[in-house]
Amino acid sequence: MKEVLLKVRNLSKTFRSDKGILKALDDVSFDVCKGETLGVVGESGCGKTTLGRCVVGLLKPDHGTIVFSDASKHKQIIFQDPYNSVDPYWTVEKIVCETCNDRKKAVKLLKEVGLTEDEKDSFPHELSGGQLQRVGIARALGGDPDFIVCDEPVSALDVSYQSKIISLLEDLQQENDLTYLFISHDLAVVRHIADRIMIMYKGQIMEIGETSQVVNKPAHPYTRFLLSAVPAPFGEKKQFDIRDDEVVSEGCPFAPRCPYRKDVCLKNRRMLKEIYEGHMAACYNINTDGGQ
Amino acid sequence: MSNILTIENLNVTYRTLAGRRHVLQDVSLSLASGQIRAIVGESGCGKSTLVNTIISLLPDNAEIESGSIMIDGRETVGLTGERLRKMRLEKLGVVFQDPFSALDPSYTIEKQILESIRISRKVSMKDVEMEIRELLRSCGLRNPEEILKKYPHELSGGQQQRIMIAMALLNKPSLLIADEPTTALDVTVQKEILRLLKSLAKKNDLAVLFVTHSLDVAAEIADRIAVFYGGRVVEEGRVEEIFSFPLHPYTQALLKTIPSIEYGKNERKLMPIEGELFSFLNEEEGCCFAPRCPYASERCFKESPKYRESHGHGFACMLEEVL
Repeated sequence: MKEVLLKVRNLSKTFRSDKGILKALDDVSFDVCKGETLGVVGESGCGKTTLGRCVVGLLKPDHGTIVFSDASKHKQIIFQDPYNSVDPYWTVEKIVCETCNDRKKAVKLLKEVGLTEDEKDSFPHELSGGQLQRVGIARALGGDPDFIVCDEPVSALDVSYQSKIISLLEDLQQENDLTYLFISHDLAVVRHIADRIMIMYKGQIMEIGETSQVVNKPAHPYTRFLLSAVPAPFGEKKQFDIRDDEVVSEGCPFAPRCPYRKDVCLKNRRMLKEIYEGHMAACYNINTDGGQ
Repeated sequence: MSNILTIENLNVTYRTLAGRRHVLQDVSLSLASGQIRAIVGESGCGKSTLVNTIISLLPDNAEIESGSIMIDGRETVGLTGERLRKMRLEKLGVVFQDPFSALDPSYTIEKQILESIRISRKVSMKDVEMEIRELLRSCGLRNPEEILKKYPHELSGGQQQRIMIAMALLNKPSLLIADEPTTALDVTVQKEILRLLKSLAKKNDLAVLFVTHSLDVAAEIADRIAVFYGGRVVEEGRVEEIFSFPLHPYTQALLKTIPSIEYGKNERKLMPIEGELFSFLNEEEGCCFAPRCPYASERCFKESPKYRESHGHGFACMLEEVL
């Protein structure tokens, strides 16, 4: 059994707006083990960014607990948009010093993430998106973390930079024994980097398990719907058609669109149930071979 | 099948502080009705300039040096004023990347759609109401009556993009240009929009030029793909050929950088392309990809490769000659 680094239990967060109350996180519980990458996937508005921010303490949850193991040191976060997450008037060196407070170390970190010493005096607008995201990563490393929330770190980048940043994150993880909570809307990226994957919809966890299990034997209809939408060059693409009924669901948030909906789905929320070792899904119609 | 769009040897330059910059070099493309052609490339490869050239939206410091763009058999390079307006109105539909910035936030959808109809026809909402509703329905919007009364911010990203597509089709154009129409959308919505565009192209015998930075999305929607790099078409062919037998080193490299849903952690190493993205600001002699190309030889830095084609699959590389 692997050592658990982070325990999240019954986490809830609501936002109030003039349109009413939005449940960004609705009773979310999961563990993250030391040294692993947990991928969090879902459409916009599913609560994945709120989750990341709660975990590093940028947002205060309404209910629930977030507990790091005693051995855990520091936590850091890498943001989606490298341009908007740094101060445009600061040099690269100063940005990295914000977390480590040590200029020598800052230069060392910049080298570690693939920048040259000449670039330490550059300002953010002089760098490309890929380079700037490396600065964001160096800043996160400056806090000497063992746990990093990566909030869509490659979504804003061009494809040829994406793979460089992904490879860098992979290398850093091995060298420094890092644990990642990797948030992304791109299933292919998460499939590539994550050991385990967590599928979220409207603030709830729909499915969680080992990446290969979830991708190859998806149990929840929403996971199957998401997978069917991933653009893939050729090959057998599984069609998955959903409906779009105007019904109110007090149970499963996906029920209005689910083709397998039963009456009970609209009334009661199904909590996560284990299907296979460590592979859990929140659905009333699951049989273990992945079919419905 | 007749060619709706024919671009021949198009050269576009920008005047910059650093001098003249060649942003499109010898671009040739053709597109028949009912066909979907994807233009794939990373930031700064010239794909937006191509779109802006076709719809005559180039900035003041740009100049079309040579080449021709024929839309539906009519030359459009050099058109101005009333004739340009007429050509755009009759032949072209454009869908932009970000529907929310393309729609006017202070008008209802009804008013915006009516405005674009009134440019060509003097009608009232009553006359065209049925037509508009039908069009919105064909673009996958199920309750057009309600949607017409709404403002853009009251609609989801997917709905906004459907409105944009509907508006692009109002005057029954023969060519639809879609400039990264799904980049701002979720994967699930993206799939629906791609499906919609495909069925519209088939139903209305529409030629679609689909610009994207994602090879996967291109493969999903297009019949043929043109890969852009440094303002040039570096490779062009059917989707299957591009994916199974990529000939240009850039296309080969690009395919190796994309994570795939087929492979999990540690099953496949991504191979990033070395070096920085092409920039027009430091223009050099020779092949535009040479500085990043693993096979580049001395000759590649001196000569520009010729575009060669056989069996409908073309590429611009001297690799075979060099080896």
